[in-house]
Amino acid sequence: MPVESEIQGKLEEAFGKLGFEIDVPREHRLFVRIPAAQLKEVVEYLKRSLDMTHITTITAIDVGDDIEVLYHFFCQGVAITLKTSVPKADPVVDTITPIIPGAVLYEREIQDLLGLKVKDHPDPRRLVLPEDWEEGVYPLRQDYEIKEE
Amino acid sequence: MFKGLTTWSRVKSPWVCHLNTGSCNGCDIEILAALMPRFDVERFGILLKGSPRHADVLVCTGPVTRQVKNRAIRIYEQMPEPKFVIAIGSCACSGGVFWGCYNVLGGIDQAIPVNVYIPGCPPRPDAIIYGVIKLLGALDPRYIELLEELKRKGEVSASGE
Amino acid sequence: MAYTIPIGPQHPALKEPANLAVTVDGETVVDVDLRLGYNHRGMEKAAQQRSYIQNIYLTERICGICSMAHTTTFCQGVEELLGLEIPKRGLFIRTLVCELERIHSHLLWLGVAGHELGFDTLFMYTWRDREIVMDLLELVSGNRVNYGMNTIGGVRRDITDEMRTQILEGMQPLEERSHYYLGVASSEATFLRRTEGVGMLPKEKAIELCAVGPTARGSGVEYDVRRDDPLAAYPYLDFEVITSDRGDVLGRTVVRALELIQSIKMCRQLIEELPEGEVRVKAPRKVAPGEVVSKNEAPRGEVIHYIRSNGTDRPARLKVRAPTMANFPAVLYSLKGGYIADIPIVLAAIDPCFSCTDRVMIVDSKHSKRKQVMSWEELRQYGIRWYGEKD
Repeated sequence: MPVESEIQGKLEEAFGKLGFEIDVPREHRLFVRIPAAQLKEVVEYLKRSLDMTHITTITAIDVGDDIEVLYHFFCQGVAITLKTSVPKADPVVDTITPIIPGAVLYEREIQDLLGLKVKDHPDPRRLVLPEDWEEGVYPLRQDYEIKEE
Repeated sequence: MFKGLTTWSRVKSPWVCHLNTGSCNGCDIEILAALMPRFDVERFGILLKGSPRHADVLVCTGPVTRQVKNRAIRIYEQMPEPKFVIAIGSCACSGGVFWGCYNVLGGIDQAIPVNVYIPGCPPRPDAIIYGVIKLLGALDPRYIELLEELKRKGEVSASGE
Repeated sequence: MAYTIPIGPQHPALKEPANLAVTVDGETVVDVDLRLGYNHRGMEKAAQQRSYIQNIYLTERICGICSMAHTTTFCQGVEELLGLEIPKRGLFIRTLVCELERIHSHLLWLGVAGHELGFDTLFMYTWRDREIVMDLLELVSGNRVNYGMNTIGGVRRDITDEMRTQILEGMQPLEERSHYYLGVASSEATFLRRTEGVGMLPKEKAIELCAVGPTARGSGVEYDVRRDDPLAAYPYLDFEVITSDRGDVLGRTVVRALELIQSIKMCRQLIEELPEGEVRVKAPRKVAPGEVVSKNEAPRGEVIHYIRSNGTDRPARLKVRAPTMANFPAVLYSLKGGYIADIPIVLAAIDPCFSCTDRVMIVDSKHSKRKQVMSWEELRQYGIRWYGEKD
């Protein structure tokens, strides 16, 4: 898997001292776990040095005490997923729209559904939930129960 | 006399307005397919109009999402009397696969009164046409007269069985 | 003086509701704003409460027009988590139904585009020809829409030899008609006038806004998941990735018409080279903990399903991103600088799996007074008349 190994090599070289966990389960797939503080730097690196221009989507998952945020990119034929984690008590991530403008709607969606706060987002309005939905209630969090009628 | 004429024109040529309350589009494309040359529902005089103010029948698809509910009620109120509502597809009848989802109320009758339910996921254009014809049949004054007569003769119970 | 036109949620012709607020200066569109949420059904939460098999039927109904694309993406994701290897015949049948779906979706789109332009004859022709594909889909799967063909481990139904003959016979008229539609798109004067130079999306913008599918390929961006991230039987097929350098609505039309022809070619190849064997393998109900990213090329563009499993028979998280969401920033960009009369066709050109709308209300933003109420039908007619009177 030449391309995937090359990307892994480059990432390890650029960020090796920070000890990122890189996983290549098969061809066309690469997963990298990074600390949330390094997010912008790594996305910037992917764009500048690996020719990455396309973001596929952003997933957010409630895993108990933390919220995991996954950024799915696509470059050089490989679907690269950046995994970060923020504490549920203070769920703030940086916006990557200055680097990748196409991420604008995905960041609004994770704000709605999981209550993440995307710092400096150019347009932080509600996207998918109805206007009369209660503030502070995030449907995709574990503690949100669907009431049986 | 006038009432007979207007009922006749409603039955012979009902004008239909389509409303999607959050459907996956499967039912909507089957409704459109009913208008296309193969099934051609226009030969029955059914016309698809853009505005609810011109329509006799409201054709609804989709489980009603919370966001759409008030709009659906507003559109229903804009239709002139007498008006009828047809719920097309399992989602419109009861919520379908989306029953129980947090943003879904479950079926058109959660928002507005429904006259005809056409189940299916999605119902074929033939099934949709059948449902519409059934509605028209129920409106046809000759049918209503026949039903009254049968009730009087006792061949049919008071509820219309 | 800038007016803002909210386009509210009800459409006479099709698809889902949504809300656009269009700010205009005279005839030109200055800015567009988007309000989604009418079609938000809470599916990702629902998926966590249903087993993987039940979720196949849930994902099928994300969109009635690309239902096979969504179930394929979901099933192949779960199959990867389980480490299953699907028999080749199953993959071929899966791909065949995906390509038949692409044919029906592109013909549907051609009709809708014709309708938005006032070219109802094209609408009637394409939907009549689409019935050929609907019959083939019904032959293979039992239903015209929402086929229920996929399962975890392969496909549920096999194809008999009579079906193969019928499919090949059906491809013949479809191919002739596709060439005809390509001719209409390239040379019919009324069509060209409404689509040439309309809804421009330059290549750099398409890349920057991360557009996908024919919307991006119509602007010269060569990205097709079937070639770049192969799945199912695509590695065994020869096909081309169609792009156009035009960047306008005509470019997107030409891309879809040529893709129709490619899909017909692929269906023929799939039928002729269909290998013998089983169509499915047995899959265990519980899925060991793991995560997977699964991608597919739906008729509208790239679909991604991210699935995380936790050892039970229900997914811990299912995340779906349908292609129209990716194309929204691009369509909002391409509406700016155009005329009000172009709004219907530019919106339709991304082949939205969301509806355009009905109530168009013109609000004079300076005086905050309601000036005029137009229905979508009137907006469409307005566009047709405006262009008719232009010369």
